[in-house]
Amino acid sequence: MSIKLSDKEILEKLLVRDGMALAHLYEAYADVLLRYFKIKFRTLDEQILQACICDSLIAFSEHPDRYNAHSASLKTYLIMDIQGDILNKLDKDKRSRKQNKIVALLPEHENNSEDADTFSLSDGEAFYLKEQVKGFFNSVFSDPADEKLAWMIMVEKTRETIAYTKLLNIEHLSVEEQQVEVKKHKDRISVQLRRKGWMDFTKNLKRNASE
Amino acid sequence: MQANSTLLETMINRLSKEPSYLAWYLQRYANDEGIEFTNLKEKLNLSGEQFGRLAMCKVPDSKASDFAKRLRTIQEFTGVNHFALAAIIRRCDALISLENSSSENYLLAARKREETSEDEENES
Repeated sequence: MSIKLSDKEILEKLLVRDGMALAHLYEAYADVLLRYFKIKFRTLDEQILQACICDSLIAFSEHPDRYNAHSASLKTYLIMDIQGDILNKLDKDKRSRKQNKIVALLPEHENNSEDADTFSLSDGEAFYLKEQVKGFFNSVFSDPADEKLAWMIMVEKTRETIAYTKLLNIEHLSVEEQQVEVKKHKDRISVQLRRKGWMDFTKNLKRNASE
Repeated sequence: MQANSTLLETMINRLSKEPSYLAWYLQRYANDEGIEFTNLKEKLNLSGEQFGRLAMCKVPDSKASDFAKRLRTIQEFTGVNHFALAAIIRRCDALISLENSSSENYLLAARKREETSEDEENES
Protein backbone atom coordinates (compact mmCIF):
# COMPACT_ATOMS: atom_id res chain seq x y z
CA MET A 1 0.00 0.00 0.00
CA SER A 2 1.54 3.34 -1.00
CA ILE A 3 1.82 6.20 1.43
CA LYS A 4 2.20 9.53 -0.36
CA LEU A 5 4.77 11.78 1.21
CA SER A 6 4.50 15.54 1.42
CA ASP A 7 6.58 17.74 -0.89
CA LYS A 8 8.84 18.59 2.02
CA GLU A 9 9.43 14.92 2.82
CA ILE A 10 10.08 14.05 -0.81
CA LEU A 11 12.56 16.91 -1.17
CA GLU A 12 14.38 15.87 1.98
CA LYS A 13 14.76 12.34 0.66
CA LEU A 14 15.97 13.61 -2.71
CA LEU A 15 18.50 15.96 -1.15
CA VAL A 16 20.02 13.21 1.05
CA ARG A 17 20.08 10.88 -2.00
CA ASP A 18 17.70 8.39 -0.42
CA GLY A 19 17.62 5.30 -2.66
CA MET A 20 13.82 5.28 -2.83
CA ALA A 21 13.31 8.99 -3.39
CA LEU A 22 12.45 8.68 -7.09
CA ALA A 23 9.77 6.11 -6.31
CA HIS A 24 8.20 8.51 -3.80
CA LEU A 25 8.36 11.37 -6.29
CA TYR A 26 6.79 9.18 -8.96
CA GLU A 27 3.97 8.06 -6.70
CA ALA A 28 3.21 11.59 -5.63
CA TYR A 29 3.16 13.18 -9.06
CA ALA A 30 3.35 10.90 -12.07
CA ASP A 31 -0.37 10.26 -12.57
CA VAL A 32 -1.35 13.82 -11.75
CA LEU A 33 1.13 15.13 -14.30
CA LEU A 34 -0.01 12.71 -16.97
CA ARG A 35 -3.65 13.67 -16.48
CA TYR A 36 -2.73 17.36 -16.64
CA PHE A 37 -0.73 17.05 -19.86
CA LYS A 38 -3.21 14.75 -21.59
CA ILE A 39 -5.75 17.56 -21.24
CA LYS A 40 -3.32 20.31 -22.17
CA PHE A 41 -1.90 18.50 -25.21
CA ARG A 42 -4.96 16.54 -26.29
CA THR A 43 -3.77 15.70 -29.78
CA LEU A 44 -0.25 14.75 -28.83
CA ASP A 45 0.83 11.11 -28.79
CA GLU A 46 0.66 9.94 -25.18
CA GLN A 47 3.97 8.13 -25.51
CA ILE A 48 5.68 11.50 -25.99
CA LEU A 49 4.01 12.86 -22.87
CA GLN A 50 5.03 9.80 -20.88
CA ALA A 51 8.64 10.04 -22.07
CA CYS A 52 8.86 13.73 -21.12
CA ILE A 53 7.32 13.11 -17.70
CA CYS A 54 9.67 10.22 -16.93
CA ASP A 55 12.76 12.08 -18.12
CA SER A 56 11.82 15.11 -16.08
CA LEU A 57 11.18 13.14 -12.88
CA ILE A 58 14.46 11.27 -13.24
CA ALA A 59 16.41 14.46 -13.97
CA PHE A 60 14.81 16.23 -11.01
CA SER A 61 15.60 13.33 -8.69
CA GLU A 62 19.25 13.58 -9.77
CA HIS A 63 19.38 17.39 -9.31
CA PRO A 64 16.85 18.41 -6.66
CA ASP A 65 19.04 21.36 -5.64
CA ARG A 66 17.88 23.18 -8.79
CA TYR A 67 14.45 23.65 -7.28
CA ASN A 68 13.75 26.68 -5.11
CA ALA A 69 10.77 26.04 -2.85
CA HIS A 70 10.25 29.78 -2.37
CA SER A 71 9.70 30.50 -6.05
CA ALA A 72 7.02 27.91 -6.88
CA SER A 73 5.31 24.80 -5.59
CA LEU A 74 6.91 21.50 -6.56
CA LYS A 75 3.95 20.64 -8.76
CA THR A 76 4.24 23.96 -10.64
CA TYR A 77 7.99 23.49 -11.03
CA LEU A 78 7.56 20.02 -12.49
CA ILE A 79 4.78 21.16 -14.80
CA MET A 80 6.90 24.02 -16.16
CA ASP A 81 9.89 21.73 -16.61
CA ILE A 82 7.93 19.05 -18.45
CA GLN A 83 6.05 21.59 -20.54
CA GLY A 84 9.36 23.06 -21.66
CA ASP A 85 10.52 19.61 -22.76
CA ILE A 86 7.29 18.90 -24.62
CA LEU A 87 7.38 22.24 -26.43
CA ASN A 88 11.04 21.72 -27.38
CA LYS A 89 10.17 18.32 -28.77
CA LEU A 90 7.21 19.72 -30.72
CA ASP A 91 9.35 22.54 -32.07
CA LYS A 92 12.04 20.11 -33.13
CA ASP A 93 9.48 17.86 -34.85
CA LYS A 94 7.85 20.83 -36.54
CA ARG A 95 11.20 22.07 -37.85
CA SER A 96 12.04 18.57 -38.98
CA ARG A 97 8.71 18.21 -40.86
CA LYS A 98 8.96 21.69 -42.33
CA GLN A 99 12.49 21.03 -43.45
CA ASN A 100 11.46 17.86 -45.17
CA LYS A 101 9.11 19.76 -47.45
CA ILE A 102 10.15 20.38 -51.00
CA VAL A 103 11.43 23.91 -50.68
CA ALA A 104 13.28 23.29 -47.42
CA LEU A 105 15.51 20.24 -47.86
CA LEU A 106 18.33 19.45 -45.51
CA PRO A 107 21.50 17.59 -46.56
CA GLU A 108 20.80 14.89 -43.98
CA HIS A 109 17.41 14.27 -42.51
CA GLU A 110 15.55 11.58 -40.58
CA ASN A 111 13.26 9.18 -42.34
CA ASN A 112 9.79 10.61 -41.90
CA SER A 113 7.85 7.68 -43.30
CA GLU A 114 5.35 7.92 -40.41
CA ASP A 115 4.71 11.60 -41.08
CA ALA A 116 1.20 12.26 -42.31
CA ASP A 117 2.27 15.51 -43.97
CA THR A 118 1.37 15.58 -47.70
CA PHE A 119 4.85 16.70 -48.64
CA SER A 120 6.64 14.16 -46.54
CA LEU A 121 9.42 12.63 -48.62
CA SER A 122 11.37 9.44 -48.64
CA ASP A 123 15.15 9.68 -48.47
CA GLY A 124 15.43 8.99 -52.20
CA GLU A 125 12.84 11.60 -53.15
CA ALA A 126 14.43 14.20 -50.90
CA PHE A 127 17.85 13.54 -52.38
CA TYR A 128 16.50 13.86 -55.94
CA LEU A 129 14.69 17.12 -55.16
CA LYS A 130 17.73 18.49 -53.35
CA GLU A 131 19.77 17.86 -56.48
CA GLN A 132 17.10 19.63 -58.57
CA VAL A 133 17.28 22.73 -56.38
CA LYS A 134 21.08 22.68 -56.39
CA GLY A 135 21.02 22.42 -60.15
CA PHE A 136 18.71 25.44 -60.41
CA PHE A 137 20.97 27.55 -58.21
CA ASN A 138 23.97 26.43 -60.23
CA SER A 139 22.29 27.66 -63.43
CA VAL A 140 21.49 31.06 -61.89
CA PHE A 141 24.72 31.91 -60.04
CA SER A 142 28.27 31.71 -61.34
CA ASP A 143 29.74 32.35 -57.88
CA PRO A 144 29.61 29.28 -55.55
CA ALA A 145 29.30 31.67 -52.59
CA ASP A 146 26.04 32.98 -54.09
CA GLU A 147 24.80 29.40 -54.50
CA LYS A 148 25.54 28.78 -50.84
CA LEU A 149 23.77 32.02 -49.90
CA ALA A 150 20.72 31.05 -51.94
CA TRP A 151 20.63 27.68 -50.18
CA MET A 152 20.79 29.30 -46.74
CA ILE A 153 18.11 31.88 -47.60
CA MET A 154 15.66 29.80 -49.61
CA VAL A 155 16.09 26.25 -48.34
CA GLU A 156 17.42 26.37 -44.78
CA LYS A 157 15.60 29.65 -44.09
CA THR A 158 18.53 30.81 -41.94
CA ARG A 159 17.51 34.04 -40.22
CA GLU A 160 20.42 34.91 -37.96
CA THR A 161 22.79 37.54 -39.37
CA ILE A 162 25.77 35.89 -37.71
CA ALA A 163 25.34 32.79 -39.89
CA TYR A 164 26.02 34.90 -43.00
CA THR A 165 28.90 37.04 -41.79
CA LYS A 166 31.65 34.49 -42.34
CA LEU A 167 30.44 33.60 -45.84
CA LEU A 168 30.23 37.27 -46.79
CA ASN A 169 33.54 38.09 -45.13
CA ILE A 170 32.05 40.90 -43.06
CA GLU A 171 33.00 39.75 -39.59
CA HIS A 172 35.11 42.88 -39.10
CA LEU A 173 32.04 45.14 -39.39
CA SER A 174 29.88 46.29 -36.52
CA VAL A 175 26.67 44.40 -35.82
CA GLU A 176 24.51 47.11 -37.42
CA GLU A 177 26.71 47.25 -40.52
CA GLN A 178 26.62 43.45 -40.76
CA GLN A 179 22.82 43.49 -40.65
CA VAL A 180 22.69 46.07 -43.46
CA GLU A 181 25.12 44.08 -45.61
CA VAL A 182 23.35 40.78 -45.04
CA LYS A 183 20.00 42.31 -45.98
CA LYS A 184 21.52 43.75 -49.16
CA HIS A 185 22.83 40.35 -50.21
CA LYS A 186 19.60 38.56 -49.27
CA ASP A 187 17.62 41.02 -51.41
CA ARG A 188 20.09 40.66 -54.29
CA ILE A 189 19.85 36.86 -54.22
CA SER A 190 16.03 36.90 -53.96
CA VAL A 191 15.69 39.30 -56.91
CA GLN A 192 18.04 37.24 -59.07
CA LEU A 193 16.17 34.02 -58.29
CA ARG A 194 12.80 35.61 -59.00
CA ARG A 195 14.05 36.91 -62.35
CA LYS A 196 15.28 33.46 -63.30
CA GLY A 197 11.92 31.79 -62.55
CA TRP A 198 12.30 30.52 -58.98
CA MET A 199 8.54 30.74 -58.29
CA ASP A 200 7.61 28.61 -61.32
CA PHE A 201 10.41 26.20 -60.50
CA THR A 202 9.12 25.57 -56.96
CA LYS A 203 5.51 25.28 -58.18
CA ASN A 204 6.60 22.55 -60.59
CA LEU A 205 8.56 20.79 -57.87
CA LYS A 206 5.53 20.75 -55.58
CA ARG A 207 3.28 19.50 -58.34
CA ASN A 208 5.70 16.72 -59.27
CA ALA A 209 6.25 15.63 -55.69
CA SER A 210 2.57 15.44 -54.84
CA GLU A 211 1.74 13.27 -57.88
CA MET B 1 8.81 -0.60 -26.07
CA GLN B 2 5.27 -1.64 -27.03
CA ALA B 3 2.78 0.93 -28.24
CA ASN B 4 0.43 2.29 -25.59
CA SER B 5 2.76 1.44 -22.68
CA THR B 6 1.48 2.60 -19.35
CA LEU B 7 3.39 5.38 -17.64
CA LEU B 8 4.87 2.91 -15.18
CA GLU B 9 6.09 0.66 -18.00
CA THR B 10 7.64 3.68 -19.70
CA MET B 11 9.43 4.66 -16.49
CA ILE B 12 10.72 1.13 -15.88
CA ASN B 13 11.87 0.85 -19.46
CA ARG B 14 13.66 4.20 -19.22
CA LEU B 15 15.39 3.24 -15.96
CA SER B 16 16.44 -0.14 -17.36
CA LYS B 17 19.07 1.82 -19.31
CA GLU B 18 20.52 3.44 -16.15
CA PRO B 19 23.01 1.19 -14.30
CA SER B 20 22.51 2.98 -10.99
CA TYR B 21 18.88 1.83 -10.73
CA LEU B 22 17.54 -1.62 -9.85
CA ALA B 23 15.59 -1.60 -13.15
CA TRP B 24 18.92 -2.07 -14.94
CA TYR B 25 19.88 -4.96 -12.67
CA LEU B 26 16.48 -6.60 -13.05
CA GLN B 27 16.71 -6.30 -16.85
CA ARG B 28 20.23 -7.74 -16.78
CA TYR B 29 19.13 -10.60 -14.55
CA ALA B 30 16.13 -11.36 -16.77
CA ASN B 31 18.38 -11.39 -19.88
CA ASP B 32 20.81 -13.71 -18.18
CA GLU B 33 18.08 -16.06 -17.01
CA GLY B 34 16.45 -16.03 -20.42
CA ILE B 35 13.12 -14.82 -19.09
CA GLU B 36 10.94 -11.94 -20.22
CA PHE B 37 11.47 -8.85 -18.17
CA THR B 38 7.73 -8.54 -17.64
CA ASN B 39 7.59 -12.07 -16.20
CA LEU B 40 10.17 -11.25 -13.57
CA LYS B 41 7.57 -9.71 -11.29
CA GLU B 42 5.74 -13.05 -11.09
CA LYS B 43 9.01 -14.77 -10.30
CA LEU B 44 9.57 -12.26 -7.48
CA ASN B 45 5.94 -12.52 -6.38
CA LEU B 46 5.27 -8.81 -6.78
CA SER B 47 2.35 -6.80 -8.09
CA GLY B 48 2.90 -4.40 -10.99
CA GLU B 49 3.02 -1.47 -8.61
CA GLN B 50 5.51 -3.17 -6.27
CA PHE B 51 7.70 -4.14 -9.20
CA GLY B 52 7.64 -0.54 -10.38
CA ARG B 53 8.72 0.71 -6.97
CA LEU B 54 11.53 -1.82 -6.93
CA ALA B 55 12.72 -0.79 -10.39
CA MET B 56 12.83 2.85 -9.31
CA CYS B 57 15.11 2.16 -6.34
CA LYS B 58 18.80 2.90 -6.54
CA VAL B 59 21.06 -0.13 -6.37
CA PRO B 60 22.60 -0.62 -2.91
CA ASP B 61 26.32 -1.30 -2.91
CA SER B 62 26.83 -5.01 -2.29
CA LYS B 63 30.28 -4.31 -0.81
CA ALA B 64 29.04 -1.72 1.69
CA SER B 65 28.73 -2.62 5.37
CA ASP B 66 25.06 -1.58 5.44
CA PHE B 67 24.11 -3.67 2.39
CA ALA B 68 21.87 -6.01 4.38
CA LYS B 69 20.16 -3.09 6.11
CA ARG B 70 19.47 -1.38 2.76
CA LEU B 71 18.05 -4.59 1.38
CA ARG B 72 15.64 -4.88 4.28
CA THR B 73 14.55 -1.27 3.78
CA ILE B 74 13.84 -2.01 0.12
CA GLN B 75 11.93 -5.10 1.19
CA GLU B 76 9.72 -3.03 3.50
CA PHE B 77 9.13 -0.50 0.77
CA THR B 78 8.48 -2.84 -2.14
CA GLY B 79 7.58 -6.24 -0.73
CA VAL B 80 10.43 -8.02 -2.51
CA ASN B 81 12.15 -10.79 -0.61
CA HIS B 82 15.53 -9.36 0.43
CA PHE B 83 17.33 -12.69 -0.08
CA ALA B 84 16.04 -12.88 -3.65
CA LEU B 85 17.08 -9.29 -4.26
CA ALA B 86 20.53 -9.88 -2.78
CA ALA B 87 20.98 -12.85 -5.09
CA ILE B 88 20.02 -10.74 -8.14
CA ILE B 89 22.39 -7.91 -7.20
CA ARG B 90 25.31 -10.21 -6.41
CA ARG B 91 24.77 -12.21 -9.58
CA CYS B 92 24.80 -9.07 -11.76
CA ASP B 93 27.81 -7.64 -9.93
CA ALA B 94 29.67 -10.91 -10.52
CA LEU B 95 28.80 -10.87 -14.23
CA ILE B 96 29.96 -7.27 -14.58
CA SER B 97 33.17 -8.08 -12.74
CA LEU B 98 33.78 -11.08 -14.97
CA GLU B 99 33.19 -9.04 -18.12
CA ASN B 100 35.59 -6.33 -16.96
CA SER B 101 38.24 -8.85 -15.99
CA SER B 102 37.81 -10.77 -19.27
CA SER B 103 38.43 -7.67 -21.32
CA GLU B 104 41.49 -6.82 -19.23
CA ASN B 105 42.86 -10.37 -19.64
CA TYR B 106 42.25 -10.19 -23.38
CA LEU B 107 44.27 -6.98 -23.63
CA LEU B 108 47.03 -8.47 -21.50
CA ALA B 109 47.18 -11.60 -23.68
CA ALA B 110 47.23 -9.51 -26.84
CA ARG B 111 50.09 -7.43 -25.49
CA LYS B 112 52.06 -10.57 -24.54
CA ARG B 113 51.54 -12.02 -28.03
CA GLU B 114 52.87 -8.81 -29.56
CA GLU B 115 55.95 -8.81 -27.35
CA THR B 116 56.62 -12.49 -28.10
CA SER B 117 56.43 -11.99 -31.88
CA GLU B 118 58.72 -8.91 -31.63
CA ASP B 119 61.29 -10.97 -29.68
CA GLU B 120 61.14 -13.74 -32.29
CA GLU B 121 61.71 -11.23 -35.11
CA ASN B 122 64.72 -9.72 -33.33
CA GLU B 123 66.27 -13.19 -32.79
CA SER B 124 65.92 -14.14 -36.45
